[in-house]
Amino acid sequence: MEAFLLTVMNWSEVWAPLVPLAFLSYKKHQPLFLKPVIVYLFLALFINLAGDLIDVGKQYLPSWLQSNNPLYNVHSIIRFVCFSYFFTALPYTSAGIAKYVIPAVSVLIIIINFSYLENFGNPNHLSGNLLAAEAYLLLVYCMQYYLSKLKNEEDDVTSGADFWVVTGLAIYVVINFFVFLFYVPMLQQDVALAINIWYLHNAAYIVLCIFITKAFYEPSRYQYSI
Amino acid sequence: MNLLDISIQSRVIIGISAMVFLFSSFLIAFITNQRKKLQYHKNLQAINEQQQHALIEQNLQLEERVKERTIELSQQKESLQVALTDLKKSQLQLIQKEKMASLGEVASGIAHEIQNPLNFVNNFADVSSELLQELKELITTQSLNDAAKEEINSLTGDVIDNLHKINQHGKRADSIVKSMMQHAGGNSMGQKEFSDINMLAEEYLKLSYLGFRAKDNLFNAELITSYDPSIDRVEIVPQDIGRVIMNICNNAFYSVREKAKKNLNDYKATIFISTRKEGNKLTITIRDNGLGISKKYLDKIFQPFFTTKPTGTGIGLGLSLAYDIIKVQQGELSVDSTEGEFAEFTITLLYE
Repeated sequence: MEAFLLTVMNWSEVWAPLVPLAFLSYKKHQPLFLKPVIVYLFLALFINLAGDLIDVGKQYLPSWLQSNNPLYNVHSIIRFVCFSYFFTALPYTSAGIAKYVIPAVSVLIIIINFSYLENFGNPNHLSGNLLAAEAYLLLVYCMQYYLSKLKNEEDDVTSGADFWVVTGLAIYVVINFFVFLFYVPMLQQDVALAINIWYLHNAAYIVLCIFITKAFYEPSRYQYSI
Repeated sequence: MNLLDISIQSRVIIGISAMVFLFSSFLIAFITNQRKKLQYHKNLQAINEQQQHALIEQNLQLEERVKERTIELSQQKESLQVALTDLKKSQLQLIQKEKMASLGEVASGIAHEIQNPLNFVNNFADVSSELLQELKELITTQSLNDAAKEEINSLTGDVIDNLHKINQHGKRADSIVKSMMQHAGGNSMGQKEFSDINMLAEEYLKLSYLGFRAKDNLFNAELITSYDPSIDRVEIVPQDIGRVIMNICNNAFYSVREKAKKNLNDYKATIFISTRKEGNKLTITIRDNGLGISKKYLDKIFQPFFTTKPTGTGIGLGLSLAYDIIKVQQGELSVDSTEGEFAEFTITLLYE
């Protein structure tokens, strides 16, 4: 039973995006601002599937393809880009100066990180700094979103597809900021703890996907649809 | 390539600092926003209070203006009402005037046509009477028996009497016709001259009273006069105005005499005459406490031939003639009366 649960948790990065995507096939018409999220889900499914398949069959693969860690880095960048688009595409919420500053900061961090701190193609571990920075910047977006909602004095702040996506993402990044920040040192000191902590990441990812599913279920408040 | 390593202590510091910074920023932004909102609401409330105040002031002004306008409108309504009443009165007077003018024309036409045959009747009655007188004298010279003479004298006497009666009534008819002719022919019997209206009123009042006393020496009436001494001599046709005063006085004396005949307790026949100057107008008021005039007759009394007197005592031309005379003088003749109590005639003339 435990092995089964572990397997389910290990493959959660693959099946979790399938939940909102399955629901999407049932309810195709979604607001335009959810388009980056849908694109992200497809890309995340593909990257995570590739990552897990590499992990399972790495003995059959050439040595340069035996690590899936660079895929996590790519996933992180894609997630950041997609959600940045999502936040800037949101109607009626002001991302303000953040929509210009945050991408610039992220580019700067990527350059500095992969110039002085980490190697992008490191097969031994993923880029904890990159993922932590990405989580932090996405959290800034989320905070900006909530602040904007409070400023606008909307009657119903806790509803709408955008709210569920942002909340899911906020939960995910708050939990994982510290996971990502301490993952590499933990991996060096206690591998078992690092693996267990990674289940926390997976659990947060499932929560994110469930919240995205809920967002797809929400009736659209906006005119645009895809 | 040598890569820098971030120690776990640094990571802890960085992580906590980043989170503290983020949540502090969020908190500060939120509080600043709330304060701005609070200030905005305060300003809004102040503006609202100002607007409320202005609105109240405007309401008060509006109410004041509505009140003023309502007063203006009611005044306008009242003046319109007065104008309408005057208009109706004028309309009635005009109708009355037209009626009287047409009746006057008819009467004058008839009078003119009757005048000639009436002259014939009178003249031939006179001539016939003279002829019969001559016949009577002639018979006395003739040799007829006494019985025949007496018979002829008796018959001729009767015929002469009849002719006298024809002549007498013919003359009365003649005077009526002359009155009618006078009525139609501009009424004036003389030239305008400066006259003392108070003296004129006194003179014709007494003349009328003496006339009644001559017919009935038991008749008595109290005469009360009130003449305005400030009235100067005015340019009028004294005979015409005198006739008007006398006609009205005659009617007044007739009325009080008829009432006196009813032997009412404590009744004292009184005729009151007054003159008054009001601006550029002069009024002569003649009031009696006689029988008064019934309301239904008030709009008819100035019509020619309208009379309430018994047949033979009045021809109904007195007031009609008076009315026409006053109209020619550009004045007004009006009446006010309560049946059984009084009748008051007011002559209004221009005082220049």
